[in-house]
Amino acid sequence: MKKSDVFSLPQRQSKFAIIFIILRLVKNLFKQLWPFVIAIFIGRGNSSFDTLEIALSGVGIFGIIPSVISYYKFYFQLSEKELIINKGLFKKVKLNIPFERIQSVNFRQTFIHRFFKVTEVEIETAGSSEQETKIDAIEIPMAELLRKRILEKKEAVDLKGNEEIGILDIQQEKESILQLSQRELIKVGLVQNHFRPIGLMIGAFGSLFFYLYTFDYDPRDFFKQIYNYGEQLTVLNISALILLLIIASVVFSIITTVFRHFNLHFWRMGNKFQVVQGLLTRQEFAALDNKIQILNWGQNPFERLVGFYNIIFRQAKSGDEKKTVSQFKIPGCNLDHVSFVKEAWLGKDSGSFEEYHQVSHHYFFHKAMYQCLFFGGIIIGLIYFKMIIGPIVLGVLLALILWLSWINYRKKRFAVNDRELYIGGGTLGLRHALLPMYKVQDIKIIENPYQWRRGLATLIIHTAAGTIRIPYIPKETALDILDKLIYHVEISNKPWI
Amino acid sequence: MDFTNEQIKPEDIPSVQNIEFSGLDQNYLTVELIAKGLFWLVLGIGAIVFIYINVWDIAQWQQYALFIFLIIWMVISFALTVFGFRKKKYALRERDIIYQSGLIWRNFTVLPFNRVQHAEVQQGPIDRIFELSRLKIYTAGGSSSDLVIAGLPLERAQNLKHFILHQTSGNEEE
Repeated sequence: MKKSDVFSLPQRQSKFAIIFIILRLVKNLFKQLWPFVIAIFIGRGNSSFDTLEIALSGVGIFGIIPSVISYYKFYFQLSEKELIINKGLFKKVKLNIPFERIQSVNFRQTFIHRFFKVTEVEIETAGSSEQETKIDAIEIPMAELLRKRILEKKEAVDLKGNEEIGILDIQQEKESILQLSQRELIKVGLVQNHFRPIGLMIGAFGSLFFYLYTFDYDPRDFFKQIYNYGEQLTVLNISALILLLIIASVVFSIITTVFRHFNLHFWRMGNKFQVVQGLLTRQEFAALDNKIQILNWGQNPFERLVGFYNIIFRQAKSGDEKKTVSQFKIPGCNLDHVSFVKEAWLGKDSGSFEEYHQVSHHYFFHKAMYQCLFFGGIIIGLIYFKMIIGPIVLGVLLALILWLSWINYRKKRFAVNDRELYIGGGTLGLRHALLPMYKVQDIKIIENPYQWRRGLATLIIHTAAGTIRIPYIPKETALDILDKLIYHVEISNKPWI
Repeated sequence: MDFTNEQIKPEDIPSVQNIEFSGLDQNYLTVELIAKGLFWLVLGIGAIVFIYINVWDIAQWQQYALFIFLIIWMVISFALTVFGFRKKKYALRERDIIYQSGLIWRNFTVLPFNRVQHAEVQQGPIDRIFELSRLKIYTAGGSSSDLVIAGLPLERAQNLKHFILHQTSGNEEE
């Protein structure tokens, strides 16, 4: 028998799949039983072995046997029309996945996978009833062959169904878009959003205090020590502390970036975008053209300094009962990459607009009114109680918030052409969104009293991968855009997912 | 395949303005008022007990003020229900359903049939007495985008549901 026909017979996974099945079992058990596990760890030392411990290990061993057997009950094979998976220990399950429903075949490798030179295979399907299909572990050459066979057979099936239309060119040629070198990767890490790690650190300190409390250690002692130190606080000390915090968060960003985006390779193949990345877990993502709902690109304030852009594909994820959204982000791009992606996705001249519109200045005024009322109320209250420093700090804070709201208003803009809708904005950074009109699910126009007294409205556009809002525009404009969008949705019979 | 591609002028795109809307069934106002009445009954009894026992130990004029405040609030809330009811309207076009509501915060939703995932008719306990029901239409745009039209006669709601689902499947065949 030729090696290429190996999939016409039922195949088992790699033996190493047992490891992953057991790992999953342990994970699930831990999720259910973690209070007991913690109880055991804390109760250690008092008694050497108690019934709970024995019961737990019993459950563990009892669980492993079915896992091992379930490995031997898992087969997959390819017929002429479909991928067939047989599995199940007590309840036999037979999954038949027709090739035309398969959207993409993705690999995912954790470091354990890489150690044993195997990969997890995820089969993404279209349609809302089908469950996501996964094969825990198969050897890499085998996995690649499987993917090749599935795509070949899918192509043959698709071609047969579309003979009249005649798909001319389905060459699956890889067109590389972006490959991040080690140096660029570090640079990408340097310009990540460093506010997030700072927030995480504050959270970590918070939980540390909580932890200290649970171990009968009074955190106030800790505070006292800091306070003693604080008595010697000088400008130098404070700046050293801030510098330390900044360095820590930058280092944190670089490390997480390297782990996530190591060896990032982003390419275009056929009618989809694909990316492979990751240091320990090597992850593959694919975005099919018709599954992408919204294309985002933009810059955070640090990325603006070095001219980097990030691209985010927002897709509706099918193959799941819950309507979840999946998205993936490509950092370290430039404007050429952005326009390449736009063109490849929606065709030439996509995303070009004659005129960009601003939202009404009332968008700023209405927000500013509430901010002034809120802060002003507190400030007046504090002044009434003869406080001085509080009102000054709050006043500065209010000025800062008003300034940010003003920038946010100035940056917000939208545009409409015959096929697409654009909305962009941001406060310190910039974010753009491009949406083909036919992807819209439904549209709302809402007006609050402030708006309808001034003939304004907010347009809310729901898509299968999130919501787009165009706030405070003239109601006439909102209705015009609504008419146009609805018209394009209703005449379209393109698949939107 | 009948493929046509005629030019459409921007002014020919059908507009949602000047559409004739249908109101909800008059009985639904009664349903809403009963629901609101039940809410105020519970709140009112609670308030009377609290104020009478004088939990917060407040002066008599403050007790009266609290009562008057509650009564004004109740009157406003009933008035909003009555006037807001008239603002709840729906309209059906060949290819979409439109719903609008809201007296103070206004809402206008358009949902094209070729994006409908599924539709269902629900009936609450008070609805059942008046033979009313609510039509719920789901899209893939997340739970905030699902459309609910309450206060429809049961038969009307079921007809609407069939019409919408028929349109949905009809479009797929094209």
